[in-house]
Amino acid sequence: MLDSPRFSIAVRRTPLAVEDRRSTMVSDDPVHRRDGILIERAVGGDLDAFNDLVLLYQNMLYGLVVRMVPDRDQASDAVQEAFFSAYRNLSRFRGGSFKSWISRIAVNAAMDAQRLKKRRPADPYPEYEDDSWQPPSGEADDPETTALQAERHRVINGALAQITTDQRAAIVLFDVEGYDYAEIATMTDVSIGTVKSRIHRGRLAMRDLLLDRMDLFRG
Amino acid sequence: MPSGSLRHESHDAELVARFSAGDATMAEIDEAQRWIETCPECSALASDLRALASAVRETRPLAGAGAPAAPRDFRLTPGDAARLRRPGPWQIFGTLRTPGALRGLGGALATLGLVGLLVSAGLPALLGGVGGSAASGSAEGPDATVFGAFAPVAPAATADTRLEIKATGDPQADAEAEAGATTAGEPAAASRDGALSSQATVALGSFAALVLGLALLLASRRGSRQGT
Repeated sequence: MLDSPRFSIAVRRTPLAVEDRRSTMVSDDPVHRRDGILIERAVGGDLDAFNDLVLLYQNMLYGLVVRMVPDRDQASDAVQEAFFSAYRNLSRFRGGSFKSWISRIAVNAAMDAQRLKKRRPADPYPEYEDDSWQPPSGEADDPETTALQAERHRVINGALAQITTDQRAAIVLFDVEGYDYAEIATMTDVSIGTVKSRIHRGRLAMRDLLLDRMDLFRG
Repeated sequence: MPSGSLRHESHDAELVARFSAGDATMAEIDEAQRWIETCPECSALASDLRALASAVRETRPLAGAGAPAAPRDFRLTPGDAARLRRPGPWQIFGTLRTPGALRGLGGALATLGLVGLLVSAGLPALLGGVGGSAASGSAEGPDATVFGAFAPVAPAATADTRLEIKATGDPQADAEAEAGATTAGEPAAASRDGALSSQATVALGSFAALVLGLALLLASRRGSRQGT
């Protein structure tokens, strides 16, 4: 990603200004440094720089949100809202990981979307329809294993769709996205204890929902 | 001796969940281990929860592959950017920059407003009632003070004035007494109007402070949620 032509273009736009600002950045992480440069440009009014950030993170964010908001259109709206919010508040970004910052905004947008849907349940709750984010099967996998894995994913997604929004968000962020408890607590504005409790209760709820299908996961 | 399933119902499933995820405290570990060793349902629950967590983790997208492609392009147009740059009501509050500052100011204003409302609504009644009854207390005895403490200022004073008017049977004397009472009531009425006016001003100001304080608190919460 760092050596992509788009990124090269992004950092080449106003090289002098970048050099000036780079001196204020302390991160050695190339991703943080790249994001920092784009953020500085975007704050300075360079919309293309912000759109480069959008291109870098939109798939990741959509992948995160679509696990929390089963309806694809709603997930798209939540991601769009997250980018709007990020653009509005970019000048208040205090450094660190842009990925975590934008993920936090997207998680809140997704949770708001879910709560709104609960308050106005005009449409029936759709099943997860997005299978595109399931890990691709390896070439060595035989068809039976692949089919079993697909069925497990389908069943897991169905159960995730039925637990509460808060529990789903906590489980997706912890188990799927790999964030730790403290990061999830920051993202969702709750204590670490609450995060743990949501994860454990969510798993218990999923187990209750899948009691008849647990043979898929045992052994 | 309770049967197995009855005994299981008394076991804390969340504790088993915490234990199976490695989140149980030292004090909880022994109990959870005992349940899992002696209760088949708890044992099955623990292994099911581990299997489920592992299955959910399996859905994690592999790096560079399997991640869903965004269904549309989320890049902002110049029109979006111009619209988003215009300050909305929340952004105006945002000029205070940090949610912490907003929270502090909002909390202070809300508290001030609440106290102001309480004072403007309750305190004058309390003080006025005492004052009013003090004026008439000597004539009416201690009971008047008790009731007067909960009575508004002006009505108490008027009532006191009117209580003083007693028919004497002499029309001229009665008329003079009435005139005297009216003359004495005018400053009381003026004072009442003034008190009401300042009371209303304080109440309105306090209400405005309360609303503004709550709005700032809300803004700080929104700011915090939007990553500011």
